[in-house]
Amino acid sequence: MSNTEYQITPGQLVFLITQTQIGVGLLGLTSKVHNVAKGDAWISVLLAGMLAHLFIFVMWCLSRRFPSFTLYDYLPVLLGKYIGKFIQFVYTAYFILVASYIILQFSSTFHDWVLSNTPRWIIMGIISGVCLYLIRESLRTIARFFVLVFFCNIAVIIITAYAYLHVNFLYILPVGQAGIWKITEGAHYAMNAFAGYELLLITFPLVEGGSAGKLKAATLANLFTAVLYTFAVFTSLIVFSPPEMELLPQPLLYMVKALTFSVFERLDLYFLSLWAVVTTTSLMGYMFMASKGLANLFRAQSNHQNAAPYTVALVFIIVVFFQNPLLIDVFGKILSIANYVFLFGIPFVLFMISILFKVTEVRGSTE
Amino acid sequence: MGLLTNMFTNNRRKSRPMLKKSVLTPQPVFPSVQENIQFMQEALFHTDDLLRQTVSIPGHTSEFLFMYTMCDQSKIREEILKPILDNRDGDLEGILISMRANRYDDLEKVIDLLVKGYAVLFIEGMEECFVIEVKSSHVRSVTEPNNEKTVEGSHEGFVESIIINLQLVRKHIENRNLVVKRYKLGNETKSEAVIVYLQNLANPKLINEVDCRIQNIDADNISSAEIIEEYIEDKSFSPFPQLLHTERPDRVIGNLLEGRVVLLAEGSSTALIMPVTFFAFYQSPDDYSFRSLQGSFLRFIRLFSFVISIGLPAYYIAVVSFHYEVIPQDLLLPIKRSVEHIPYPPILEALFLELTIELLREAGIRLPGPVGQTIGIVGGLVIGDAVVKAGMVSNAMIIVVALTAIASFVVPSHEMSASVRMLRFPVMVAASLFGFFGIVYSVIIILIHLCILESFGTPYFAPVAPLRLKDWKDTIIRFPQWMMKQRSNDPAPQKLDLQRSSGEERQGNE
Amino acid sequence: MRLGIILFAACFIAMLLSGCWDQQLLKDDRIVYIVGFDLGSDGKLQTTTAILDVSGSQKGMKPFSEIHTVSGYTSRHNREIMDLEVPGRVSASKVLVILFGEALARKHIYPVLDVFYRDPRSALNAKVAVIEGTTRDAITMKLTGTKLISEHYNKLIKSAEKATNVPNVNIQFICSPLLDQGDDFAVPYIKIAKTPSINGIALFNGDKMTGTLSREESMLYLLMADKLSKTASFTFEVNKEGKQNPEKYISIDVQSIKRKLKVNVQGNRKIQVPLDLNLKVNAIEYPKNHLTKQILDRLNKKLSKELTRKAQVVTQKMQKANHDGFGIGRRIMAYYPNTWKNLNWKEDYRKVEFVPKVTVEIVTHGIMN
Repeated sequence: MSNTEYQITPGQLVFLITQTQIGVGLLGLTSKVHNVAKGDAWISVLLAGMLAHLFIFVMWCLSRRFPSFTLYDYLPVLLGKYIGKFIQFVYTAYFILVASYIILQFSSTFHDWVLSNTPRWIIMGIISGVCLYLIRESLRTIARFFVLVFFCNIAVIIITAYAYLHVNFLYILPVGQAGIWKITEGAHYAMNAFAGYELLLITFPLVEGGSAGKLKAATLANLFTAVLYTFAVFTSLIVFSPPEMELLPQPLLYMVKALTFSVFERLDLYFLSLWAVVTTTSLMGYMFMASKGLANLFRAQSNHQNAAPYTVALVFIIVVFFQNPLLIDVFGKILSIANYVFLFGIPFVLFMISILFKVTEVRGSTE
Repeated sequence: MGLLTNMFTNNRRKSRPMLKKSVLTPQPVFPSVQENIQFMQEALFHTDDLLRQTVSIPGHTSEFLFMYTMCDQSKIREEILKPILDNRDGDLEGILISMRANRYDDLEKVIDLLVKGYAVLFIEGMEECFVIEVKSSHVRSVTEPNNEKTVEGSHEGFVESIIINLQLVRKHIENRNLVVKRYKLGNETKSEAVIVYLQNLANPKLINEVDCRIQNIDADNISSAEIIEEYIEDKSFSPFPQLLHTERPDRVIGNLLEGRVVLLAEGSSTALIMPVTFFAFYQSPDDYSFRSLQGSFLRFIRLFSFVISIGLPAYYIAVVSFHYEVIPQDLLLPIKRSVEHIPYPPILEALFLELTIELLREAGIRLPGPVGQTIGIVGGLVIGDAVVKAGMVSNAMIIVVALTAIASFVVPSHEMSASVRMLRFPVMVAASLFGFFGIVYSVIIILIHLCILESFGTPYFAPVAPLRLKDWKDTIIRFPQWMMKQRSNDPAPQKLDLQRSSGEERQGNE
Repeated sequence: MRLGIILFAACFIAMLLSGCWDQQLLKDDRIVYIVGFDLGSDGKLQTTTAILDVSGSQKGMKPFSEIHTVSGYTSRHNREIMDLEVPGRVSASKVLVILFGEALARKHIYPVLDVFYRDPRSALNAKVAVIEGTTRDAITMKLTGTKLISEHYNKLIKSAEKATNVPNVNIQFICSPLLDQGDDFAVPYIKIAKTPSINGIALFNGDKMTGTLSREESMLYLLMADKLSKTASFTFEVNKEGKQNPEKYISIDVQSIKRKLKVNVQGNRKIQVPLDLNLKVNAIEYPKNHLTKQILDRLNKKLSKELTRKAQVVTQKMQKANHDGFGIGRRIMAYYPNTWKNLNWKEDYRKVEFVPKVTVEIVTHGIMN
């Protein structure tokens, strides 16, 4: 399984996780959280980041007990063949649904902002096709690509930073106006945007080095995401007055729309283009996890490459037949709850089982 | 499927299946001169450039054969006739030694040599024949290659002879570790090719891989290095070249010293360097003859040219047909004015102009020197001005396309320049369909392809993907020589360290 | 390999099938550079636009504006009506300036602007101004120079911004205070006589225009709001005596400002706003000359007193117009959230006690004394 030829470095893991985390949630995050937590939305986001970190820690504890197994490999060991297969199936389905949700959100945002007449299935087809092209390759190549396009995040930060020319810090005062309960509720809405670190469960054995380094990598990745999100949310909060914020579904994008330079105007179009790249990598991350799951469903410990075309086709079919905006909303709500089950619930239960029954990886059973 | 294939491939002639490599049975030398000559003439199908000449070695009837098209007359006089005349009374052995003749007893082998320009001496009654090298050589002088000119530095260039080329390389690396491996390639052509590497630097795995790929070539016609390239490269259908061509010995030497392998072939003045990365195509020996700041600046310009030549026309098309909102207020009026009465959509305009420029370029190469230049000027000025006046193409588009064309010729490597010129068409089409969205996705596809691509096991887009900042010192920017402590990692050299701390103290004291 | 062929074929077919759905060619669109909104006679909305016309060949032939006036129910409705009049598709994505007639501005402006906020293509960086009179007159006006009417207004506003005559606003920047209860905005106020000229600023309360400030007042207003742009110059009468008229005056240019604004809430209702403004200025014109230490001190005192008096006038005008341009309400929300809950800001703002204090210090006086 842990063929050294296809292992990635912990440094690459940082980028893999970050790029999977930052994605479609970035634009809508502010307004979603602001609806609940008002001016304290940025605290909610920070809180969500910390919570995500706790989840990462649980995942790490679990994966550490099976250093050369992926989630799919030790599920049958822990839960028995049938339940294990079932959970594996559920995980795969979850990843496929998340991937579909990303595409749906992506295409509807693009539809609203730029390509309002282009049929959605074409946009969906292009983005799926591009994903397929990459996830047919080894994890190492995927990691290389993710590292390469990381500069998009930096560019996003730089563009956002220009909004500081016209801000009013009074909008977020007084800190704590919403109350702890509302802030926590806001954190719930932000949790969704942080999803992506479950990649750790799947790639844990594929990373070189000791488990401490892997935890460090995941921490760094989550930290970057949390900082970026907080920065983005904070900036939107101080640019728009609260009543205006309620009207804007994508404040971040709206904010950059008014920026003007002597060479560039309408920065939102450039911003969207960069964001498209970021979203695509996030989609690729989920597609990778899903195809790994799909491949393992049919043949244990097999490569994700063979399953990639089927995964992409499945996701494409789902998104093409599932375009009702109301349904997408419901879909998003379901996923935000399913989040906790898959990112925290199941790994935690598995961890408990593994401790209680003292199940760890048996040396030599790998090959 | 089968029917379709038959319909569209017009395959009326059936090729005879290729025989397995036939091993020729050795043919011993006949005792009689006549028989030998008879045999040789039969074997070469009485080709008319095969000449026979009798020489009188005292006490022996002897005759020699040579192909006059391949031989140097004065050499025949020097090497064959003169020793015989000088040693009128000497014994046969003495004559043969002064002729520097080699003995052969297999006529089949001798035929191959004969074709190469050796003379064969048959002596009545001997079971051996003697082969004397009288090859005529017409070697171009070592001049600076036309397509890789530099401002400063060495002005040597490779020629078509492998021996001279190797000499040019060895002259600069006087090192026992420099190893040359010879291959005979092509079942019909039997042309000679060598790989050169430094034993103590080049990765053994890499050497093995190169060796293996060359050994696996089983083709009739191999006549030049560029043909070998297609047999050994990783992905033939990738738009990016995966082996670096060069005609400059200093470039070859630099790469050898980084632990790469170089392939030279008889008859072509091009050396192939492997493995290479994308950025190697954007380096020029000039970078090293400039000081580090200037060198880095030039490299930046070249990489910038890559971005311009792929992205600029697409960006312009996307802007004028989708997102003209991004044009600043003050620029909008001139651009709007220039596109107002153009009958075609921008993509057609751009394709028309780009193709015109490609035509001009191609025509400029084919035409003789002075005319070529004229065509460039006539084409550039007259067509450019006329199409704008006729209202077929807008002024802005002319600027964009001209800039792009200039940018695409900045690349020091000819093959990379060609692939960049080709790559921008799909990006342009994507931009005309989806605006920025199309550009972003076509660029993503190109980037993914660069990430996937490998050249002899080396990631093609190193050191950017996989990221290795240490190697940026000599790829994207150029640090001063004394700061390059390590060789670049992409050919996986055996020794990474390049120097310890030369020059550092002096810098530190300042 | 096979996959590559399939992908290629798919792309090719997509290309052939596509009608380039979202294409909007620059050459086909008619670009609106300036748009003015007026209250029409029968309560309808009247829109006047100048559309860029670049006919003729690529060079020579100066562009001119094609002016249309239509009236309808909403600004989108008007755009549709206009589309019927104009050859080519009207596009408002590069609007430079949006003008409001004073009558309309005094009623409401948000419903008119909504389409600009909603349309993803619209230009959020368009300048906004209120015209004394109707925008129709402002846009149809014949200018003496060769500038386009839109360019004229754009440059007029921009240069006034640089001189701190008017606030630097566009339709995006006014949106936040427009919707916010505790903050208000002001836009340039343009008078049209022979040529259009900046005549101070129009104060808004919510989305209604409620008052104006003169040029000098608006400059002081901007300094008090801590919004010094490149330059800000005043001319004052400082000497009663003097041989010639110009000798009575001094012109100063503000170099840097330091503003201290505090909101003190005493009890529950009494709100006091001390506003300290410290100006470091450059004497740019003083025909009387001999700026010695004593004279400078005297001038500093005189100017400070004069400006403090003017600042009081500005705050009074603002309160009369119910215009909370310094964001006092926002500050109360931020620092005294409990007080804010008990306030009826519309009424209570007028009761706020402003205590402006301006100190002027001449720090440089050119290259002569």
